Amino acid sequence: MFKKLFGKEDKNTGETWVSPLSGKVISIEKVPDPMFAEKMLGDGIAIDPLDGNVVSPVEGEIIQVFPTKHAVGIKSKGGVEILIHVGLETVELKGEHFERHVQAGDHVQAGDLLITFDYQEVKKKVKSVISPVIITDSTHVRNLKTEKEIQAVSGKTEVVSYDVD
Amino acid sequence: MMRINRVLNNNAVVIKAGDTEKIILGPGIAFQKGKNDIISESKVEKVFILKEGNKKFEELLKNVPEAHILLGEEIISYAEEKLGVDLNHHIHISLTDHLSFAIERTEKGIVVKNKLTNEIRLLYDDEFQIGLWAIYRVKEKMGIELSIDEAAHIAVHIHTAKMQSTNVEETINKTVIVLDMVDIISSYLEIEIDKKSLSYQRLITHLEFAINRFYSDEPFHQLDEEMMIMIKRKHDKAFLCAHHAAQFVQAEYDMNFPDSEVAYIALHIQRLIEDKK
Repeated sequence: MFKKLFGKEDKNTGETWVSPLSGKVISIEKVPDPMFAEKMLGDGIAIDPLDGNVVSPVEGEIIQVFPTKHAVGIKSKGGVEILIHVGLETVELKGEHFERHVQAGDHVQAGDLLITFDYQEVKKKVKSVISPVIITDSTHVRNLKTEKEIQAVSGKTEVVSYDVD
Repeated sequence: MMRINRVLNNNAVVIKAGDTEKIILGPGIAFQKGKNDIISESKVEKVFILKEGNKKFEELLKNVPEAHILLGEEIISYAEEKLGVDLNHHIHISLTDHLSFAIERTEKGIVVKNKLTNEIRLLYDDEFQIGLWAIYRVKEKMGIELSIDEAAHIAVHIHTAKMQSTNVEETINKTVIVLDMVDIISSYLEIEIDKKSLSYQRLITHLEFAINRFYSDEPFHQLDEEMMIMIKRKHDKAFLCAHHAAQFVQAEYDMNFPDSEVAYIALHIQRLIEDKK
């Protein structure tokens, strides 16, 4: 019994995200897009950014960078799939003003630069630059804790934590 | 100061304010009163501005027994309070008219069956509960026992007004389509859907809005191509199921859902699947 108990505890690992963007962390429910606000794609946070540098929130592997470069999927070391979606309806820019620094299969550390975008131009052209960062596969995620209404510094401020089983 | 322009019945009068006419409702507001008399503002319960459509309301107020109007208004107030929303104003005509007919029919011993009663109960449970309450009030006040099918009729009227629509026929058509889609989804997934679950409620609300968007030519949800591919990849079973349901409505009702809408429906279906795990 003890073995089982300890065994389970051994398997449990916690994971923490650093903020992938600098700016204000807001609750995912407040994102002005129902697909994200209703958590249809997964739970998480959103950031209203102040600049155009997107870094990895965790150590892990890049699963995909959208061809239009406004979103990137990462599989964390703990096996959790994360999606960073820069802005809302940014797909319409067709990759303009975006630059990618990684590709699928790359191994990244928390804080590594993933995407950069021309903040001023993008802000002018899209509905919103509010960027949802969500867990797209929460099967093994427990005790999700998210920060909200704080100012975060990319690669530094811890914004999300959970246990992985 | 409100001066009566014309009396509709003991509880309803028309007043003029400048160029606009208003219908004022309140219990006993016009009792023993006539043209140019002043009404007591403390008795005013509801005010309607008379527009083109409201001429019908004025007709209704003149021709329908007062007791029916009061019951109708009571049910509408109760529904607004219970649902926490403002209903489309047309309900003051449609529900009261319907209720009055239903009471008269029942008095004459004519029963009109509602084939969709069970489905309406499942789809619009809150509205159905209000329908049941309405039946109870009718019995209490008039001594007439309306059938349970009438609760479903009342529920449809209330639901229509809640969706800010005025077309009860369309609500019934939509109900049938939503139910067909739910059947298709349920049999495709080979699961028994918990009709009380939040995931189910959200699915049917979404389907109803999707059908609304189709009818009214409003734009559907926009979705990144890449997001769609991602949804397809992650939730292939839900996606195929949604696709299957969309093909069905296209064949059966000539209703075309764009891919982004199908993907959104797939996300709702995914929730049903996850509930079962």
